[in-house]
This record gives sequence, C-alpha cells and structure tokens, in this order.
Amino acid sequence: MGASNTAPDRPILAVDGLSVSYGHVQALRNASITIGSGEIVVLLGANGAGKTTLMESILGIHTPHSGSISFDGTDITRVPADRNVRSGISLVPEGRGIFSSMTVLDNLLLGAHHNLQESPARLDRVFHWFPVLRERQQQMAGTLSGGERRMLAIGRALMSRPRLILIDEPSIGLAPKIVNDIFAIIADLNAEGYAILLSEQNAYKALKTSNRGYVLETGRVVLEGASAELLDDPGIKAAYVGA
Amino acid sequence: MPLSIFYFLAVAGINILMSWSLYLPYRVQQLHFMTVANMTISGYIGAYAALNWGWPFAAVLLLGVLLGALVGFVTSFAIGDAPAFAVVIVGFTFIYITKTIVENMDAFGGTMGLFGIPKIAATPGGHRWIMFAVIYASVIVVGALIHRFDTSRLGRATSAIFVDKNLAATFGVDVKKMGMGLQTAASAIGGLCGVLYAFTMRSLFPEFFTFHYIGIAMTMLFIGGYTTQWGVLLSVPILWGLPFLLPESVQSWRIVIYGVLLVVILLIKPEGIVTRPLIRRVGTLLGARKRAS
Repeated sequence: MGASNTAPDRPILAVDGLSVSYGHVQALRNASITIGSGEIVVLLGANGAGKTTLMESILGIHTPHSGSISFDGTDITRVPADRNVRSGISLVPEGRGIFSSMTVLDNLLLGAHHNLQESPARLDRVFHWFPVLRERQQQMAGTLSGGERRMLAIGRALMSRPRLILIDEPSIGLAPKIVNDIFAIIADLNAEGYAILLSEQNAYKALKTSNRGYVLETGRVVLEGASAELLDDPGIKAAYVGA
Repeated sequence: MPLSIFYFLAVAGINILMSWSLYLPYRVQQLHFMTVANMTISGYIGAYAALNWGWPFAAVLLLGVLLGALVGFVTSFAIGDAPAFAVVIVGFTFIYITKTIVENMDAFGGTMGLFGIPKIAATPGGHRWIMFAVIYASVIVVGALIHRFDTSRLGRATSAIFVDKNLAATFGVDVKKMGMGLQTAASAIGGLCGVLYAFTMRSLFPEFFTFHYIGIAMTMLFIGGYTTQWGVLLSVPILWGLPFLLPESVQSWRIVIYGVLLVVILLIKPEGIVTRPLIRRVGTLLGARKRAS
C-alpha cells in the first residue's frame, strides 16, 4: 500500500466540482476528488452512484458541463481520451473489458495502440506480472477464465505505460480466491509506483487495500477520508461492509 | 481478348474494388454507400476531361482518385463517427443528388449519358489488354494496401471499434479519425472505380449509378464475408458470372436472385462464406504444408 492516508499536497489527479449529465439525467453533481502519486484511492457506492461516469469522465470519454479535471498539474477537463491515454491515464473497464474474438496478444497490443515501438518491452513486463498470459498469448481471449480476463484487462491497461490506472469494479463476478489475487496484484502495482483509482462494491477488500476513499451517492461525494477511518465508520459498515 | 471475356473480367475487377470500398468503412460498422456517388462524380468528370480537354488516361485516373478522396474527406468531417443509419442516409442522398445533377447537365449528356470516351491504345484489342492490366494492377495494389492496413495496429483498432467503439475509445483509439480515414480511402477507391468503369465501357449512363448498384456491391461483400477482405475475391466472380450462365429470361431476375442469396447467407452464415477463423485455418494448413516440404 502507498504512502499517506491524508489528501495529498501535490495530487497527480485533481477533480474539482465535476458535473456530468446524460441528457436530462445528472450522473455526477459537483464531485471533487484527489489522488496523490503512489496512492490507491477507492470510490465506493451502489450501482448508479456515478463511479463509472467519474472514471470515464477523467479519461475524457464524457464531457463535463461544469467543474475541472487536472492531471499532473495540467488541465485536461475537455481533453479527448486518446490524448489522455498518451499522457499516462489508463482505464480498466468494468466486466466487458476484453475482445473475446481476438487473441490474448492482440488484446494486449491494443493497449499499446499509441506506442507500438515500446510494446515488446511492455509485453515482457506484463508477462512478468501475469505469466499465464504469456502461455496463452495466441489463444482467443474468449476462452480465458473470469480471473484471467481481468488480468488481461489490467495487463492491457499497463501496455500504454500509464502513471494513473483507473480500475472499474475489478472484483465483479469473480470467485473470492481470484478476488484476493486481483487485489494482491493491485497492491503490487501500487508498490511499483502506479497511482490507482479503484471503483468497488466490495468495500471491505477495497478499503483494506487503499489509502483513502470517497463514498458516492447519486452522483455526489457524501463522505471521504482515510481508508482505515472509513472502515470504522458505522454508516459505511452498515451500507457497504455488511458488518 | 474476346469482348465478352474482357467485359466479364473488367467488371469483375471493378466490382471487387467497389466491394472493398464498402468493406473498409464497414470495419467500423459504417455502410458508406457514398462510394457509388464518388464513382459517378469521378467517372463523369474524368470522362469529360478526356473527351473535352484531351487529358490522357493516367491523368484522368489520378484526378478520379484525388477527387474521390477529397469528397470523401470533406464529408467525413460530418459523418466520420456518425451512427450507421446517418452514414447510410448521407450515402443515399449523395447518390440521388449526383444522379440528378448528371441527368440535368448537357455537358454530361443528360439522361442519354456520355459516349465515345477515347481508347487508350491504337487498337480495340490493345485498349482491352491495357484496361485489363490497369484494373487488375489496381486490384493487387488496393488489395495489398488493405491487407497491410488490416494487419497493422490501425486494423486491430478498427476491429475493436467494430465490436465496441466505447471500449475502443478507452484505449485511446480516436473513433472519429479512424472513421474519417476509412471513409476517405473508400471514396478514393470509389473514384478510381468510376474512371476505370468509364474507360472500360467507353460510355456512361446515369441509370448505372443507382441504389441498384449498391445492392450488387453489398450482396457481393456480405455473401463473400465482411470480416476479411478475401471473401469478395470468391463471391464477385461467382455472383457476377452466375447470371451469364442462366437463360436470358432468368437473367432479368438477377437482383431477386442476389436478394434471396443474401438473405439465405445472412440466415445460415451471418459473417459470410470467408471468415477470419477460416482464413486462420487455411493459414495454419499452408504453414504446416510448407514446413513438411
């Protein structure tokens, strides 16, 4: 796990007062979060709370109607996704994150769409993290197990040489043993220096792994704090941890 | 080369190119029928340039390709990432507009069309051989470029857009730029086909460049297989040649036959006859034989 448990002085990512709508439906309302270099920050919230919208807005898939996003000190509020990926932000999407009819290798190379020159070195690195993907690189991605698919999705995100990785619901639909493996990998990635923003419904696991957390409800940030404090919060326990 | 064989081979080559002009934008799920309008624009303007300004064939060919690319590029700013139905509507509109314009312009021969497009060799036989060579050289060059594209990182990105363009965008694939590039390339091929068709037939009629031609090119693409470029090499000679083998009374039902075949293929083999797994199997088989020898 990374360093501090308080909000960072010089965040790698700062989202300030962000509001995003889908037509008349407001998905995010004045949401503000920060992530420091080397931190794992978790977004907690029920389905429809706005976690995925926030992540996709950071990447540049949705255009906010107010608020700002800055990455490493540079304003990226209306910067398109392709430029943000080049700058070092990478998203591991929820569930559907792989192309079943392509090989494992092609899926990984898609992650290096902007930087194929470096892809052999990046591939070696990804195969170091996920040896099973090296063995199965010529296999169709659709034949992988659920856990291997998540590894592939994370591996593909690493191919673009990110500094900030946004991981949306990494544990969804996975067996508990695999969930443990995935969280162990996330902690290891963080130890290597990657800043990580995690969206998760498995609050206990996520708070145990992260430095800080934010709780979203109907698009608003309703609570924030160090993960250890959030774990002790009776409201969080009742709503998300089930204790 | 006998005239009938020449027409069969030349139009088959042009149909292969036109089917590829639909294949390319369909890599990002766009049915870019505007290529038929590009064929009309480049064919007519090229023929006019040859007839009235005495332009040589090579210059007309270049003009046709550039004109197609320019029209495709300009419109792609508006429809590069438009939904499939919007691209279809723009294509139909362009076909209708260009057909109406050429029908109403005396310079283009109105509804009678343009006649007497010059030969590119001294003798009819020489003209046929040169046209045959140019058409199949175009098929080889365009085919090689498409193969290069399909096996590149851009081809991989288009495959991702085809499956899920929102997911592709999360890797930083610029969906609009990809659509614009493919539409421009497709329109350039359409322009190339317009000039090749004009110099093959040595006459142009507005009635050829209609929705009817879209039906033919689309049938060839979807029956051959839209997931690889190779399917049309199989479907075009068969579908284009099949009606010639049928009695004359049945030949006029060609479009109905195409329609029935298209529906049957879409029902039993939705991806068409030649699919990616089939190409992979053939590749593996050939690789194994090569190793064995």
